[in-house]
Amino acid sequence: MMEVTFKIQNQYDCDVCVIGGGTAGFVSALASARTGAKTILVEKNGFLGGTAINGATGLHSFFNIYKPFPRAPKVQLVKGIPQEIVDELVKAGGSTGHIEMEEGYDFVSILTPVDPEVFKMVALKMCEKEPNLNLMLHTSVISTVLKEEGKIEGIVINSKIGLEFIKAKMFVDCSGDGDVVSKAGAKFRHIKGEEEGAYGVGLTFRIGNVDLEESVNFLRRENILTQLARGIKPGDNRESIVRIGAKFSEKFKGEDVPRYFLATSIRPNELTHVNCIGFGPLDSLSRDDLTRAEIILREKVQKTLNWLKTDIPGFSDSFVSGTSISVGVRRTRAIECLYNLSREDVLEGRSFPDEIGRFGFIDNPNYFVKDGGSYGIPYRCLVPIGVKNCLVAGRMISLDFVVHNSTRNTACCMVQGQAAGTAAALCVLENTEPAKLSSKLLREKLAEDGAYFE
Amino acid sequence: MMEFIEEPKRKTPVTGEYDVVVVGGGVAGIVSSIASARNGARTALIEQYGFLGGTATAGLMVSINGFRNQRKPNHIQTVRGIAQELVLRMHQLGGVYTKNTGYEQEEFDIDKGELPYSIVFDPEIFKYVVNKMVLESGVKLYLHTYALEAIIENKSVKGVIIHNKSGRQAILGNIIIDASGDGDIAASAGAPFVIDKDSGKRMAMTQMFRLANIDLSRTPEKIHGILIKNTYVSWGGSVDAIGTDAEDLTRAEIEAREKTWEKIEEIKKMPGFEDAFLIETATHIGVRETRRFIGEYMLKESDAINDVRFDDVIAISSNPVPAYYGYRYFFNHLGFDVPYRCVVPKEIDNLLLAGRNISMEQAPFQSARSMAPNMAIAQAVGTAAALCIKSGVIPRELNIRELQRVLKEQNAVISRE
Repeated sequence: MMEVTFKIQNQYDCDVCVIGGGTAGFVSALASARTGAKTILVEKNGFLGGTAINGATGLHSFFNIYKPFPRAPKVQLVKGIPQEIVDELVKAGGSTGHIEMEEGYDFVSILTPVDPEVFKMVALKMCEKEPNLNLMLHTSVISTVLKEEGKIEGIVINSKIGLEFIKAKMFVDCSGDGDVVSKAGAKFRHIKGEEEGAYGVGLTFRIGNVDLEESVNFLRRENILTQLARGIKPGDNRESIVRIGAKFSEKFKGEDVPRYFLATSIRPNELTHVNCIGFGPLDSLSRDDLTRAEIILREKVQKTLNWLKTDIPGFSDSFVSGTSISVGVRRTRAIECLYNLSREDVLEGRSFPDEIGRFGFIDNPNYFVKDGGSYGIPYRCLVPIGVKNCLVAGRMISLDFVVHNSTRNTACCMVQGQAAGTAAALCVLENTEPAKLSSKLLREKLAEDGAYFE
Repeated sequence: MMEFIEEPKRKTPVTGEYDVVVVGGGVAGIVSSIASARNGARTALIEQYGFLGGTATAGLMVSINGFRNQRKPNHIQTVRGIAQELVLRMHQLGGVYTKNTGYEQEEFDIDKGELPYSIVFDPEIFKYVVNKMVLESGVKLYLHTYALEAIIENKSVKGVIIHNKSGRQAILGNIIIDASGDGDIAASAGAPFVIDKDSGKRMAMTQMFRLANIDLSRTPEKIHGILIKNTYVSWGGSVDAIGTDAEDLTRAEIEAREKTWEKIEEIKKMPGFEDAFLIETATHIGVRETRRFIGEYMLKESDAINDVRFDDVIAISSNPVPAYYGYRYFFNHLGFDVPYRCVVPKEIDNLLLAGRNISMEQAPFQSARSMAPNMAIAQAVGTAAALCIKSGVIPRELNIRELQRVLKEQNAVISRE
């Protein structure tokens, strides 16, 4: 052990500081700034979007999973700022909008393919339009400084300037890992390794020069096509394939055959996001585990591509035209909040008086929300126990594994983000604490801002 | 603002002890860590992203320039060693191109190990190959890890404070190589440096981008850009900004991104590009110039232009210097000597420099910052660090003849004869 003290040079003051520029944080910062709070958004990369554009397969499930349930009405659950982002993306030629799955719709009913590059542009433009929002890119959080137990004074950030300090009245931890809230006295579980509820990490990548029609014809012939959707891609005037799912392992054997294969295409002859390799389960908070995962998965990318080129029609001239900037982490710390959704809450599709939105997708083939409906997300799920001036949104809420299979998804993270950002700003304006904020006031503001309520 | 805050003292766990710690996994860090480990030093390499390559991959600058001066008739290849090995290994996997590199150049036979002035590489194959080369050499990799500050005692560097998902830790090393590009660690150690705050002189930052769906049968014969398979990589938005200022860097990313999209609209008017679409922009805007440290010797513009020879030469740089000539003009000689003293910073011990932060005036810097000479210098730096460990001396006391002997033995080029 060494004793280390840092000298910190600058201080920034704001009302609300949002940590992490993934979808939860980006939406949260917009909501906070628009509600009238002077807001700082801290993001470690040079762009916004986090896992939505690096690690996942685009957006989906703004609607309930209605297609496998003939009597279930089709309901758009995710609206508000998330829908505004989709509208902006469509306008900028970066999304097909919401499209219906043709095959495999018992998993996802509505898909919303997005172009990751247009997303980056649109996200930055949306932030620039907000006079109350100060965006800090290329900036990572180093430590949390407490005023007293359970109250955050500020955070130490690191950028090319060196170390600096952000002092804020309220914080919204959207870091995915709870990097700030976990150091401020919050109760949490660090889920890793072989424990129940731990996941592996994936590494999504992009394949260029693919003949999508040829590959789908082959998958259909061999009866291993699991998902299919078509849509009109930006700049195109006819429908083409935007989603492919395949079960290669039913026909092929070998080390390099992916056990699952899900891919979204937003551009011609390209699989923009391919999700088919994983490693783990592991401890995604461990530097050495992450380093090992990067090395193993980057090797797997090349091997998988070589296998596809040899064995799957349509891939013979293809190549890897990009990999995600980082392995995609699914879960690390689970933060205990005033309320933690139970499995029954989700599966039964329960409602709550303080719910801030609803969601219907569960990333687990064994579970569905009853009758293809949706469940409410109580405001209390965003209020961590033990910290007075911090809210959380994103993949670190929910203790139960199946609940987490649902709440960790991008569209649900956006719903939480809008509510947490709005709540943080209201706490500043009303001079109150998150646990004492009127959920009625919050819900009224969210309704006014177009977020969905049943 | 400007109210100083002192973070409370905290215990920081020591996570590793090494002979040599290299900060920054760009080309300079990759090559210096490989050279260090191959020469017997226990070596760690720290990188902020989950992959290596820095400007080559995160910056999407997919060409390596400066393997030789193109001036006829007697030009020679001035960079070999580990840089050449990297190119040949990527070539084996079909990841290297010598046509449409963005520059006119003479052809050479890569299969015989002869490299032209510039080569283009597939950035994904680059990531794959450098992971293998680094790990095969026995380097301990720390990915997703930021280097915060130098640990310094009596003007001597003892290690680096790092931060990652495991929290804050210390890594101790007998020699620290700052290959961070901006020299963040050397600066925090108190090594003296210069930085051009004069926007007229400082080199701009550029965001690289990549398009797909190009009809190669219809494109103009000469296109400004790089072709990899049927994708096109080129220089997008350029912005003048200070790379060591986070606020300026945020502004640069936003402005450059906007300009990149505008530029793509222009490109799409060219024949063959009508249906092209953007597949990626660089993860990190390309920063060309920030801190240049003051070493035991600062290489002068006149040294480079006049081909001044040095006894302690460790690499040769033959890439053009636009700042001097006003355009890309190759030297009238084969390339200039890079002395060992340029990588040894003044005032601070056990610290070496590799990459674009070495001790040079702007003109020679513009040449040596190119990836090929950059890697040649980095190989010398990593080798020097390992030799310091072997002989138990600090970098400024290293036996230069021994360093030069080992470099030659390991296929580095240090003379033009």
